[in-house]
This record gives sequence, structure tokens and C-alpha cells, in this order.
Amino acid sequence: MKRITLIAALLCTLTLIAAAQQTPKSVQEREKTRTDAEKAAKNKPAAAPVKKAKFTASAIQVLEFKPADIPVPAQFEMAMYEETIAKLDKALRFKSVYRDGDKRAASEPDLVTMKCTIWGFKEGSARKRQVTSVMGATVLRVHVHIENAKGEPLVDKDVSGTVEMMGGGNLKATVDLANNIAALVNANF
Amino acid sequence: MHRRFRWLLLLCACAAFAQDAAKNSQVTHVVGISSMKQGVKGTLEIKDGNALFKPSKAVTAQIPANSIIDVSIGNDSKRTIGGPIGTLSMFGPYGSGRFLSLFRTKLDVLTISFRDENDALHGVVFSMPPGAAKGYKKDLLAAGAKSTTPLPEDKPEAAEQKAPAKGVKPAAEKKEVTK
Repeated sequence: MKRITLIAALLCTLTLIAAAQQTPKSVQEREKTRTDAEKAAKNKPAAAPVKKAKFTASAIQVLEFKPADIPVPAQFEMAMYEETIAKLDKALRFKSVYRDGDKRAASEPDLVTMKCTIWGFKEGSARKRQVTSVMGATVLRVHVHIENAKGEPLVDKDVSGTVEMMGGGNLKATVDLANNIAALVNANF
Repeated sequence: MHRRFRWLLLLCACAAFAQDAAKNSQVTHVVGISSMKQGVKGTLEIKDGNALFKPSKAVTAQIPANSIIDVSIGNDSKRTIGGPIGTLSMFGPYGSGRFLSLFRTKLDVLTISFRDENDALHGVVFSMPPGAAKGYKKDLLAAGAKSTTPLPEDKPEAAEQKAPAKGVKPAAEKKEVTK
């Protein structure tokens, strides 16, 4: 019985010693393979970062925001229009930002026109927002269509603006929407 | 008879006073006048065919009434306890700030759309105490402004013409019943 236990203990120690000798080797091997891979990656020609081509225009004309078969209060329509113009003016991407119906826009050589259609409107409640923090959000959804002087579409995208939680009055959603529209324009021009 | 007449006179005087008070009340610029900051308070006057917004510090903004293409009235509300105290109250213990948010004051919102000398479209939004916007709209329309929506007081009359009151049958139907 004693012999058997001695042999077992001996075997265990031997296996442990063998494992201890092997692990450093494997770590070294791993490091080797890693360095080889890194070297290979370094030698490879670096792929050029994919950049989206931007459009160029000297002026933009923002047309009146019109709702698509949904009732939208006049203050929201006007606030969206005014806030968007203010944000585009501030962004300085264009030499001039023209309003709807401005006669001076006709003389611009490379003018782009922005048409916005309101297709989603949900008037929330500031009281609900401030009391619950979850309910009562005001949501505005607008389809932005930008075209050049020839009528070719350059940008066609949906943009939304919301006011949630402690965001303030319902009209603050128009500020968020204008910021998002300005970001879309800045990304494309 | 005299008593009744006195009461009627008093009622009319009160109504006129309330309307004047509403007209001379403080108006807040919400958005639209680029030369002014948002939230600037002032007075709105309709004088000599112009809408004049006079803030206490900034220069007066002027909109010619004949260039106004639309005037509309809307509703909004604001916190009764607002400003820095209202913001600080949100950090109050046991949700006391949220409780204070329940108390809100109603507001009238007056939206004016107009075209300038270059035919460019502008929009201005003002907020004011409830009941004041109706008077301003009336004055603007009298000064030559246009509107796509009728005055709120015109609505019930139009509705009455379309749908008769409950219990009252149209004249044609009455005739049929008598036959």
C-alpha cells in the first residue's frame, strides 16, 4: 500500500515539474507568434481611411417647414424654421444662408435648397417630463431633402428632435432638431 | 331695473379693464428676432400700422402689419416657480422639486409670420399671459395683417351654423313633423 502511494506521489511531482518546464516555453512561443503578426501587419501597406466625398456650395436656401398631412402648431413650424437658419448661420459652412422666398438667392451661382417636411409630431407635457422623468417627451420628425440648382438630390434623410426629462418647454425640441439638421448639413458640406 | 343696469355697467368695465391689463402685460420673446436674445421680456404695441416689441434694454423691434402673412395663437405653460430657485428646488429632498413642478402657469403663444423687403420669410414667437394673444391678433388684423386662422371668438359662431344645438331640430325637419 505504501509503495503504491509513494509511486503516485512521485508521478504527481514529475508531472508538475514537466508542466512547470513547459509553460515558459509556450509563453515564449505565444510572444514569438504575436511579434511575427505585428511585424507582418507593419509591413503591410496601410489602408487609406474611407472618407465620404463632401459637396460644395456657396449658399443655401432654407424653405418653409411644411407638415405632411399632420396638424402641427404654427409656433413649432416657425421655431423649427428659425432655429435651423440660426444654427446654419452659426456653423459658417456657407457664405450666405437665405430664407424662404428671398429674391437675392436667385443670383447665387451654386445654391443648394433645403426642403423639410414634418412627418411626425408628438406634443408632450412638460409637467409629465419633470415629474416622472420618463413620460411626456415631445418628438419632432422631419425629412430633410437638399438639392442643387439643377434639381439633383444631394441629401435625403430623416432627422428627429426631442425634449426629454428636464429639457424645459416643448419648444426646446425644435432646438434639438435644428442642431441635428445642422450636424447633417455639416457632415455633407 | 336700475340695479341690473349698474351691474351690467360694472361687468363691462371689469371686462374692459381685464383686456387692457392683458394687453399691457409683459411679453416674452421666444424665438425669431435675431438681434435679441431668447427669453427677453418687453411690451408689445400695435401702433401706426406696426407691431413694436419694446424690451427694457435692447432696441425696439418693428414689424410692419401689412407685411404679416399669418398670425396664430397657441398654448404653452411654464413652471410657476421658475428661474434659479426652480432649478435649485429640483435637488430638494424627498422629491419636493418634482412636486413643485406640478404647479404650472398657462401661457398664450402668439406666432407672427411676415416677409421682409426681399420677400424673405421670417417668423417670430412671443409668449404672454393667457387671454392677451387674442387682443393682439385682433389689433394686428385691424392694422392690415393677414391670417389663415379665424379669431377664437369667431369659431363658435361658425360651429353653430354647421351643427345645430342639441334638442333643436333643423327647420326642414320641423316642417315634416307638423305634417
